[in-house]
Amino acid sequence: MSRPRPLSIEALRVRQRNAGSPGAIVDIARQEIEAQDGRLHAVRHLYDEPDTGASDGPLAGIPYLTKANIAVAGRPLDCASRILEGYVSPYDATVTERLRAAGAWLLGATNMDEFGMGSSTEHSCGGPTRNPLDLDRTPGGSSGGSAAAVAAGWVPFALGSDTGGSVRQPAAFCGLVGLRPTYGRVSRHGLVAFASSLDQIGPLARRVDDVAEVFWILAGVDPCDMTTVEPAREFEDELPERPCLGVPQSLVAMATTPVRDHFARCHKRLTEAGFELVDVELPASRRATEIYTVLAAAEASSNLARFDGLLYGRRVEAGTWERTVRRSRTEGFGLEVQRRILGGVFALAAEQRAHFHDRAQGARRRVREEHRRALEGCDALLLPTAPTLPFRLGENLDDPVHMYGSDVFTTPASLAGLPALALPSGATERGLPHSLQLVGPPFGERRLFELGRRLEELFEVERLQREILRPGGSEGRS
Amino acid sequence: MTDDNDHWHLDLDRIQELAQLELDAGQRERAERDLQRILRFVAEMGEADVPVEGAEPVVGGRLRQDEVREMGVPHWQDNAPQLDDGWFVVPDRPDRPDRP
Repeated sequence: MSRPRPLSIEALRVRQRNAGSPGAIVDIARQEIEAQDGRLHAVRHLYDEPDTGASDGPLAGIPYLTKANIAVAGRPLDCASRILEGYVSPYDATVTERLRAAGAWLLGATNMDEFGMGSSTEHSCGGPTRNPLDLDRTPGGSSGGSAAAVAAGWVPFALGSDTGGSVRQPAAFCGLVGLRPTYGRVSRHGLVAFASSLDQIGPLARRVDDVAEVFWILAGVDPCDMTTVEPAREFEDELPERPCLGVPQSLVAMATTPVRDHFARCHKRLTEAGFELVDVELPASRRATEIYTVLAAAEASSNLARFDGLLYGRRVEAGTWERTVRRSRTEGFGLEVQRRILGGVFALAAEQRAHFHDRAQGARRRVREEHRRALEGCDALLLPTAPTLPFRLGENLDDPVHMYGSDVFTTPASLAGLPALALPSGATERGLPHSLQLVGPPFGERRLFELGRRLEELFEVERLQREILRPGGSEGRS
Repeated sequence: MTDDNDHWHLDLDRIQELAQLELDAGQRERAERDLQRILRFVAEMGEADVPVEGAEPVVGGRLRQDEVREMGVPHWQDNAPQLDDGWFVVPDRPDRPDRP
């Protein structure tokens, strides 16, 4: 049974209604994954029986995939890490409960960089995920499995988590729309913590409408996550006829040539289409990735201290308590996770703390403050999502600093706690996708969706996706 | 703290102890090399530097009541590597001074 593309939630809803029996659409999605995931390796845990949703919600009978760091009661939760091999979650994440109540059926968990640490989904204990648009390239990361699964057309949406860009960059690399919500908007209860001052859960889908629909189901205050807050202000206002977008040119200049050239063309088209584009200054944000590297590593070293093989997870017996903990951690964590823990404890150790962690914390303040000021003069910020096109598997694997550079345009909004929407804006002749990013004021998701819809129309995203997204993924073309 | 601008003094024994990792010679060499690269990279955040006074966390949140809550999680011991009659079995700590 073939499916129309793009695969939207609405299209599936119609099919579900016509099919009659609950689970009909879900069965097809599951069969497609079984048949096609051997090539992509996007799904880490495909459940034998799907997690069924309520029968009467807005997403009744709609299949989706979650990321392997989001808890589902009675299902594996291993964050693509050996140290959580065989771990079964005793409870549900709040987002899992919310989607179940909305009727969505969960098919399984997607592959990811271990604990969310990476930008290519190559740092998974189970091996890398391939980009369905070009099998020789990365789907991005760390939510690369979620992006690849949606781009392959198996599910209309998937959940990811975004600490420094882990929803937006994979969305960009797979020709999709991805949202990082405002910090405090979506509960992280049941999300395995990487860097708590930065982590957010967000949806990936083909179109803004679908991302928005899922987002409004996820959003809301949760008594189990005290960082969730009521919006200080909900943006109900209509956008002006000539929306104003702030462009941080000195940041954009850090992109590679193909991305810069494409961005310049987008800039021109947006101006011709009646948008007002103004230059904004974000000088501290040029160092956002460096600041992020310090803070995320520091928080990760603290958050991951709990994994010791004693009460849960994979234990490596080594005689004494101390040696057992050290061996369990050394054999359980992959290379990149160890790098971040080592960097984090170094940055937090008494001798270096002021020089690294505290300076980074101060610099983060400046990033946040300059975003606040920039957003006073425009409706949203506009910049590319990633500095490069999707890179080849293995290309950045031995160079951690180069890999971190992939987050240069996504870490600023992460540090500032602001909502950011990545959406497709074109493709190269070889079908590799370009992506733009809109960054909004706190709790400005509604505004981002409205702007995003206008950009989708302007950049003909429907036609673009029909050209570059192929059922089940394409052969490597390079 | 630095030997020069490009090279940091790294006490890897102390760092791996804080990280609760146990690296062999090859892993140590690699960790040293990677950390030097990362530290050179993050040293560039100097351009965005501000006085340390603003170093408190920048995110908000609410405080909850400090009280015991029933979690209602029936399977909380299911992931234990080793159990004995409802007790977690863990390795001995002969090197711990306050051992009873």
